Amino acid sequence: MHKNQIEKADRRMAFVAVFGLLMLGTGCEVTNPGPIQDEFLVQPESRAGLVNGAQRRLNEAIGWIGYTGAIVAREIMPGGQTGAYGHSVAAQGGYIQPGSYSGHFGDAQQARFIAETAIQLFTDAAWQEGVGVEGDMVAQANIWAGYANRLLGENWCEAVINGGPLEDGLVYLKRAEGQFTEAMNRANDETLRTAAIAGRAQVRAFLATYGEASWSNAYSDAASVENDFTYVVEMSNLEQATRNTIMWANGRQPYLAYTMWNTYYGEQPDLANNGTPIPGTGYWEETGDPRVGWFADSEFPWSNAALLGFGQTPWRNQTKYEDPEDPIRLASGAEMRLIQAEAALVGGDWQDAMTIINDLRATYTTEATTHQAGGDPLQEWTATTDVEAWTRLKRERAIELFLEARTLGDHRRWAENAGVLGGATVPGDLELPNFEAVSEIFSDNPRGTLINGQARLCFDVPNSEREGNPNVPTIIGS
Amino acid sequence: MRANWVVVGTVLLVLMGLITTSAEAQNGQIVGQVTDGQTGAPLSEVQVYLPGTGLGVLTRQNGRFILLNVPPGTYELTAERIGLGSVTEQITLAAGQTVETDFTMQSVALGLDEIIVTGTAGAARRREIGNTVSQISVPDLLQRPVLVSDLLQAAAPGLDVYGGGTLGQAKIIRLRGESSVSLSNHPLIYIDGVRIRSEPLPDVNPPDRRGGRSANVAVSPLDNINPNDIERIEIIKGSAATTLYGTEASAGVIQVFTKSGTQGTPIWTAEVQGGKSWSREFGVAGSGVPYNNMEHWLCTGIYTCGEYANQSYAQQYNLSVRGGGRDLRYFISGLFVDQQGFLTNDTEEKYAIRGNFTMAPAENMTIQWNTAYVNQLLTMTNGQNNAQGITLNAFRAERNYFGTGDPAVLNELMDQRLDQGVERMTTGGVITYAPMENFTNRLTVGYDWSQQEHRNLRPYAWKQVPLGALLNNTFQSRMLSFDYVGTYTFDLTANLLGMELPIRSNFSWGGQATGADERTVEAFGENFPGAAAPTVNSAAITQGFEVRQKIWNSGFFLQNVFDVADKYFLTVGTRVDGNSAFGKGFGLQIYPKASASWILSDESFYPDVGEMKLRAAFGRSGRAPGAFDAVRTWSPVGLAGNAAFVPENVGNDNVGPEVTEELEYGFDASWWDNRIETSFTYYEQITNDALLNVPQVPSTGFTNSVLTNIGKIQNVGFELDLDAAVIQGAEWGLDVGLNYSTNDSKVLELGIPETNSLRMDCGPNGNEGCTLRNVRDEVVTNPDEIADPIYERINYGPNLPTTFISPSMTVRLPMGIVLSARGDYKGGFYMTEAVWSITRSVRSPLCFPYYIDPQNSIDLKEGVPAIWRARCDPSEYEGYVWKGDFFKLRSVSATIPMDFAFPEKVSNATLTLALNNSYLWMREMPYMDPEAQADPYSSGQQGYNFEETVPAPIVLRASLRITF
Repeated sequence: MHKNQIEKADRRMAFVAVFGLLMLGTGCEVTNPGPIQDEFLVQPESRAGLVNGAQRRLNEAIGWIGYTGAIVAREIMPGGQTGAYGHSVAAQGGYIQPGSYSGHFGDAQQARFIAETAIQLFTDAAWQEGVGVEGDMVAQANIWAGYANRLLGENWCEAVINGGPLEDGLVYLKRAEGQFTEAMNRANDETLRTAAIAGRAQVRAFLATYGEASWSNAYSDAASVENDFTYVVEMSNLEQATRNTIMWANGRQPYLAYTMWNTYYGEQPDLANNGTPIPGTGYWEETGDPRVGWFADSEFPWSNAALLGFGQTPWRNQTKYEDPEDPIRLASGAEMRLIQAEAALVGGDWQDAMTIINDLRATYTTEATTHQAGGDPLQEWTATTDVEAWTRLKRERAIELFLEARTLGDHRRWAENAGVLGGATVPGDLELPNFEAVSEIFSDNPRGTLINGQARLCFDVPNSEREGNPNVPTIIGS
Repeated sequence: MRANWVVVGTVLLVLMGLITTSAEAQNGQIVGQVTDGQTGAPLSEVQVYLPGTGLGVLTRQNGRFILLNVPPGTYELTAERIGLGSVTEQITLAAGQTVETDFTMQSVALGLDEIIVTGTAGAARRREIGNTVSQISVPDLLQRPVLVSDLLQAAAPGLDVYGGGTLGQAKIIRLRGESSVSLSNHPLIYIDGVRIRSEPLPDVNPPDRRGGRSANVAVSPLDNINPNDIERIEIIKGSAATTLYGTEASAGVIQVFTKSGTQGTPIWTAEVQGGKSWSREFGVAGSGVPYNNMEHWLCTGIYTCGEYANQSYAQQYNLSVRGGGRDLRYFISGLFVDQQGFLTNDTEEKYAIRGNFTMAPAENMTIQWNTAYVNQLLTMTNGQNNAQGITLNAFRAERNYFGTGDPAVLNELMDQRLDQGVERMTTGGVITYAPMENFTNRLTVGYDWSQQEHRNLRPYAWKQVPLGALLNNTFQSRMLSFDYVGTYTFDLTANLLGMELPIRSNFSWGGQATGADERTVEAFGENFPGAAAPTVNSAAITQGFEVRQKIWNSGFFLQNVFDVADKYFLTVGTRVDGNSAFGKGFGLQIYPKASASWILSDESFYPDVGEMKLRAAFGRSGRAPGAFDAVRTWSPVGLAGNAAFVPENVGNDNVGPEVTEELEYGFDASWWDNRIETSFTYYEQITNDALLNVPQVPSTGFTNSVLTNIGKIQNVGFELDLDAAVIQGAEWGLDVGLNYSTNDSKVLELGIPETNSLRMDCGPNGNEGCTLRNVRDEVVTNPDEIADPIYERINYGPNLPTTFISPSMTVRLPMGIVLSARGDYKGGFYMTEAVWSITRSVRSPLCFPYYIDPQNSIDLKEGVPAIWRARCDPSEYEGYVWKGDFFKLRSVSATIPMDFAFPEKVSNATLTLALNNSYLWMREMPYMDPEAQADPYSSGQQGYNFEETVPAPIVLRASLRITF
């Protein structure tokens, strides 16, 4: 090879080397599609997605909290499943291990965080000329924030906001009260406005039990909501995460994890005969109340696993949610009536309370059961004392709010506080089903959690928060 | 695509024909025999050729060769074979004459002048290199392995290959253990200098596991290489050796070199292989369920099968040709594999073709262009930890998702169809240009493309999904790589300090850029209108998903080798890297290296007992974080058809690679007339800035953990490789070998708060001071007492083996018959059990002796010792940690020369019988092969852990290979 050819080749190689160095300097910048970077959040086109994101996480949170909460509140009976859609033996008993359920907490916190981030972004945008955000979108963000805070406040005894210190759980509800008020002020859409009023009535009722709000305000909010109003969080069958978890987890998917057998509503067990279901027993069979129905499946007569200390349990599946896209209610006119009834009870007028309750029951038409032909108005409750009226109210709320992530919170507020009633607890009986008679796991694992050594009917702040947040004590259960 | 394959094959064959035609001429011939200088035994498969003429041939089994059609003239006749010193004889051939020339070749004990490519700047002689490099000469292997991962098992110290019991499933490969908590510990893989995808192709599950989990296997890129195409494999194990590969290389590098064309007339090699596999009992001995209730789907012996069991078989056909002239040489091969797994639905068909071409357009330039294409079709049985899988439901019998262990009912699970089509094409060219004798340039451009289509059908009217469901997931991986290396060699001085010590300097520079591009498109449909074979759009509900991700890594390096008198070598160098996954606040990463070697046996004072090289090396290399770890992102998720996004990754602006630095030192030596060869290496790795997934505070909105450079991890161990020719005779011979290595990891620092649960999983003092992948569990402190169990939570120890012992033996018998065996011991680790779900009241065969009525109930007898109460009482479910130590006879083989049965034109014919996995000893495990794992890439578990799966089978294969 001639010298000039060599030089030419060398120049080529030098070019390759320079090319390589240039790639090093400039070639490592890559923008990958898919995830959205923070900078895009401020764009007007992102606002609807952000608000929907809050509902998306609320969807997941309410499904799981409602599912686990239903175990503690004994709305459903465990079949023994410990893996997918199941719980540990202790959790099946109703015990909430201190520091556990990080996923439930994280979903609810994200729902709150996304909605509150949206509210902040909309507030910031309002300072920019011509890019202000319309009222209904602001109202919607506040409504999701309010319901997320309500979900947290009803189910957690202690609150943590944005990495801050540990506070009383009522902080969530007070935050929700403000957000619902803001939503009422900003909403143009009547449904949104009513959803905000109903939400505020809920949190005011809860706070009022603790003396932190007035029953009269809760009553007046509730009274402004019509009977037929409902406000829901949407479910979607497009993804597992957005399905109605309560429906899915209880169902034949394929885990058959929980049953209605031996609950207040399902068939009662013949304990002298290995727990065989006694036909025609249980509230639903007796009343045909469509809010707490269930069915048996001859092809799948048993729950999948085996309940420790008992064995396989008869599988009876709830019918409140029959489709994975059945939404979960956040608020309803029916509940508003019960808030009014409770306010009446607190005010000492138990007869008025029973009238409200029975008026509500009369709006439901019975299903056909062994005791009911079906198609009739639901039978009335009777009460002869204020304590009996409280018992009926507690049961009626449990029925009306069945599998809506509400009953555990009710159990707690009634157990912890007589508030304005001046007693240690709210009068009346929860009429809990006797799970203890079936298996010792229920007596071995008392319902609820331990916070500072005190048994409480709520979730504990999880370890994931305690370990990472320097403002929160790391001692589990403190 | 198959049509393309046929076209490519046709073109290659025509091209080959043109080339071979040019080599035909008739004049004289050269005959002779090649023998081993030590033993006098004939040597087969020695390349005997006339350089520059295009004429050459391989020796037959008896060592003889015939070189036909040689024009008259004077030649240098050369004989070469890997591991033997090449020999050249001058001959003069007249027209029509036959010249006889015999060669005697000597083995090269330590191969100090062998050229090593991997981890060096361009190439280097073994004597120059300060780190250890394991080299596997594949044609020398007697066992005729079917998979590359099989041939790597127990092949070198410090190399751990495990898992992969299911047909087509990738094995896990670890070099010197694991040194990363959060990132891949899989070594980088190169083929002929071209970077390919190192990770197995992904395991696929339906979206959100909708419709149940899947059970496709993660296919290994290594196992897509035809082992018959491989010339050798080089393995470098730690950062001291992998510095020049920079970021992504701290888990080591495996480089596969495929065969090149040889000068001379075409040499054809054909192989036919047939095999059979069957399962060893893997249930609890004496329990009456030797296959964990899988009896009905497995053969229990070669000729005895259960009611539904099938006979599994394997057949393989391989054909290759190599040859060429001075300017163009070629190696072309084709492979067809057809086999059935021992689970009823498991089948594999694989076609592979390769064309390697070497061109010399100028005296100082060569171009090597290699291309391989593989097409693999797998059908699979849905198994593993899967509610709709056969293994889980069979293991759990009446406590399964059908409520019955009746095989007639469970057999419905076999109606699922899991099909997986894999295609891979790897192509690349290497241009080597040496404008001057001391100045070389090498440019490599490579492209590795792989595609996997996974189809998972739950048919209409199937009990678990009555309306049916279908998933179609297509994954593509593209890897484009550029690599340039320049080397300039010059003399620094002839007299160092006046001592007549010449110093040469070998200065190298270069740059690499690698782009990895992954794309997934997935369609899912459910609810079909009828039983006809559906597509996704037959379904009432359909969904689509897409993921795209690209990462670029670029870097350059400088290196100088100081060569003092060809016996002292000092190498210093550095590599600088950028990576698109680094945080904006991070910048470039610098990886330095230094190594030294001393050929002690070249010193005058060293006794004449053999060769000895001392070596030491230090270097750093890294591992890059993921594409999105640096940036704060929100995930677009949607809800009921509406756009929505939620917090995803909080991001870390300062995230960079975790950097492993390693110091290794040791020696290579031979003694006793080179009949004993030893290599010893001690290494110590420290991974600084180890990336850990630090959980985020949920109340701040971002719940996903974030990769943060905060940890510090240590790996130490030694590696011993010993080979001895105990008996060396012309007809009889005995070679023994031993690989012995250790690996101990320790977490030195975690850098996260003491209360964080990341620390809780390890030792009593947090994670620090404990093994990286650790088993911490309850121990029963009163095991033999007839009482309730008392527990103490203790740190058992590592979950990965820490001691590896691999003995091997080769016996040469008269008539050229060779017997060989290779064993593999792994020990010093613990395993946990998760096969039986005791808490779900599954009847565990392990507990049968303690049940009152083992066939019907889990009620325990009175007086059960505490340890068995812990294991068998569903409310306890503890005590399932076992020492995992085991020994496995990886292979036993016999190679029998069959030349006599073929005409003279067949230069070499051998029949090989190989039996794999034929013996298993377990120290403590009461059941199941410790290497049996469900697909480790689906569960994320890459330690030794059980799931509901079946272990790798015993395989018997017979292969006949002829060369002509």
